Amino acid sequence: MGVTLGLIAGYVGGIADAVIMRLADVQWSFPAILIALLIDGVARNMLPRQMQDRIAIYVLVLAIGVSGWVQFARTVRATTMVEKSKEYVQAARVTGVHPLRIMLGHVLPNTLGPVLVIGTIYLAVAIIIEATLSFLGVGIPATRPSLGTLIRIGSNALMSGEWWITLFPSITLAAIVLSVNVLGDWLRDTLNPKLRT
Amino acid sequence: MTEQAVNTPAAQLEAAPPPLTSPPPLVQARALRHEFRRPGSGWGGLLGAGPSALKAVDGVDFEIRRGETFALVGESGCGKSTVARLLCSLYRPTSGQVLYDGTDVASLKGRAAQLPFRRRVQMIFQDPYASLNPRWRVEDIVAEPIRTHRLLQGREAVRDRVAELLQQVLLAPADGTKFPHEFSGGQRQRISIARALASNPEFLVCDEPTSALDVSVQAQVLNLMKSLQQRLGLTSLFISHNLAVVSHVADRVGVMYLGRLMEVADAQALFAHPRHPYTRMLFDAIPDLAMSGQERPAVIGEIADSLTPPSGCTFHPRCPHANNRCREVVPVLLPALGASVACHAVEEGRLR
Amino acid sequence: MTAANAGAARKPVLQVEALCVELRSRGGAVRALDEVSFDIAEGEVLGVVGESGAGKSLTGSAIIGLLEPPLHIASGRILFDGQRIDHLQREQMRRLRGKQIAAIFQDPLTSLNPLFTIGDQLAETIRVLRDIDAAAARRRAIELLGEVGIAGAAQRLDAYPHEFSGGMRQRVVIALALAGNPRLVIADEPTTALDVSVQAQILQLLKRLCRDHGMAAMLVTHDMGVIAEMADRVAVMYAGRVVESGPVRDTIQNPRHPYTVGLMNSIPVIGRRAAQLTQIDGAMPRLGAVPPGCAFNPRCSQALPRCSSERPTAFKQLQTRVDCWLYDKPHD
Repeated sequence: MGVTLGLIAGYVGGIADAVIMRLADVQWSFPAILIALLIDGVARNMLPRQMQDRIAIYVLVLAIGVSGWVQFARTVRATTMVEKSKEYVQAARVTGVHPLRIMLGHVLPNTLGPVLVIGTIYLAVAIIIEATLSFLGVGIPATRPSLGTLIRIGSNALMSGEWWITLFPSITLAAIVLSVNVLGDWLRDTLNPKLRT
Repeated sequence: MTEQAVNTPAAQLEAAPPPLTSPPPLVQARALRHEFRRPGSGWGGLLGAGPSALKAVDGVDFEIRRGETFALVGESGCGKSTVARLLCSLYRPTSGQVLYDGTDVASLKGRAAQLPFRRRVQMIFQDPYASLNPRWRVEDIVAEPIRTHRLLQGREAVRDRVAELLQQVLLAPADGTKFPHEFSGGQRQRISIARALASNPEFLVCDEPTSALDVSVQAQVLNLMKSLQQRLGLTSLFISHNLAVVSHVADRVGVMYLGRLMEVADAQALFAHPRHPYTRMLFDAIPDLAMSGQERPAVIGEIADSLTPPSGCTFHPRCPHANNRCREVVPVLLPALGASVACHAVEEGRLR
Repeated sequence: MTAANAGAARKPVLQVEALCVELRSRGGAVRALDEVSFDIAEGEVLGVVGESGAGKSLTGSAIIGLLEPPLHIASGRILFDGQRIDHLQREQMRRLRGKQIAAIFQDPLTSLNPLFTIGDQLAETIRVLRDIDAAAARRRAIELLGEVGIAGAAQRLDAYPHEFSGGMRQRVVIALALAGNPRLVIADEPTTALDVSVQAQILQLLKRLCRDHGMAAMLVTHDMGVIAEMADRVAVMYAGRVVESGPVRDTIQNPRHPYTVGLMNSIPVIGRRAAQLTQIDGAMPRLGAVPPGCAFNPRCSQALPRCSSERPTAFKQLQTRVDCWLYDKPHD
């Protein structure tokens, strides 16, 4: 969602750009967790009890997604604006290529580099947000497993000296985040034609 | 083609054969003006004041005849690159018209109407590194115009045509599978030329195509462009800041300064007898390779700021022949001494 | 007095002897500069001309001590005023720079710090080189700006670089270079980013300054026209080697080396409109792909059999030095 909005904002410019960017600025000022909590809270109130448990995971995904689109949009917009002024885009316009094809076929592939990197970072962030929400008790219900829930339960048990219940989920979380980041870097380098030869 | 489509400008462009009488010019610019609005002006900006419009092109008239190479020469800020983009319809002029084969390009509304025009006009850019999409293979880059205009059917046909185009620019068909970064600057420009020729255009706009290349590579590319142009009967607009390169390729030359045309003449006439004071200054400033040791008049001042151009004749602050009229009245391009010159001094006979 | 005597009477400010610069890479060492030799006499302007990849900028960087690893000087000597400087420590080199050897680079936009006024930058440089107070530095700055032809210098001291035009900025850069009264200035494509009319002005200025201050200059450029305007002697570089060097008039009007001949003929000249420009087929070899023998031999229309196996030594033709087997005849 962020990628699409960013592409539109960067390529079309003008009023669309201004509106999307102002929206972004407004949302930027709210911390992600708060937004996630907000969405989650609204969902809980709006939906009947029985459904909550089942769709909790979708609400969570939505919450994390909505809270994070700004980063993607910003980056894609910046890259789009740079690429748009490059001559190969102008050449395509002179040739008469349809603007949609230019956006998707020419500009988008060249914006994906930074997006991939941010994507993997954000994947890590998403995992952490989910863990945090679960830790706070508002994420995945206790009936489903989650690292955050484990950490929470563990922190309760800290007092009784069973420290390992908190420690191991935490290490696992850190390890997942790290490997996702490395994966992202590798992915970005592999997809770069310049480094292939 | 359906009945109702016949009379639209687009249909006319596609169908009209060249007339039998003395052919009208292929491209005409009439009172062309283009302004760039500075960001920060208009209700989107919150920053301070300042002149809000940059007059890149300020009233330019010229025409290009079929088969001719017309060169636009000038230094930075003179507007020649903007004119190039206006002619390709990359920008819409703030006022004035661009006529292609008699049709006002701005009147072509909608993509369907513009497509025939886009096929017949192509552009070659200055920067060999930015003018090719780094993530596309060469064969896709060159094939794009063919595919966009559906000139050929079937992948085989397209591939063969791409191979043919690559050979025309003295590259190997096998180069099609490579990426742009595997080529040198001169080779990339040749790929750009191949791409431009892919749609069988009539009119080529070349924006400083060799300025970023070494001298010996430039010679190769210029030779190639010249021979292709002659062989394919192309008309072209050649933009450059280098008078020597222009002298090699152009049939007619226009000299621009701060958005206006100062002089237009046949190449031979211009290089033998430059009339306008600015043209003369440009010639005097060129390093003398012949090392004749001639004393040349010093160059006065620098190019004025495009945002606040001088009144009257934009060149008057640097002109040794400026008088009061020059400071107040904008000179018009008038025929004089075998050329068209926009200069009061020439008009008044003060300058031979 | 023959030219040879005149050359001996003026002691060379800079001597470069068989300089080799190499690039350390995983596959081994690659030669970027291969036995480059030339001299610059006091007050003389040497033009170093070549196309991209020839190594001319690299030569300038090596002389002024700005080579970054993995590039390094592998062998050869650089002598400044008779003293070796190629093996100096960073700190010693830094002191030499600015005071004795100055540099002017191509892009005036990046040569100046956009955050400080030019007055501040000038004064700072002056005070680094001379131990004077702020007021005296300011006076000297105004003096320097005046010398490089900036009118109203006193007011312009407090302006920022972006308020100046390209030509003016380059003048400021030249003023900065002059601040220490150097004996040698290395100018790397000083006018390439400027318009033709401004270029003419800057070249005039440099010429005058060199004359007035007895400053020697090494002018690196790809533009033969600039060389014709400014240089006394010229060295032509190709693939990291000097292939020809001699007095500028001689080399331009009567080039010896086939590459120089090809280069001169491929330059379009007003008034000489031929159907086709003479072109040299092929391209300059990249680092590490330099052919054995003479680097130019694959593209040379006059190549002899020995050109592809033996690297030519230098031959003297009057005052010109050519590295080409075609000139291996008993002469002089």
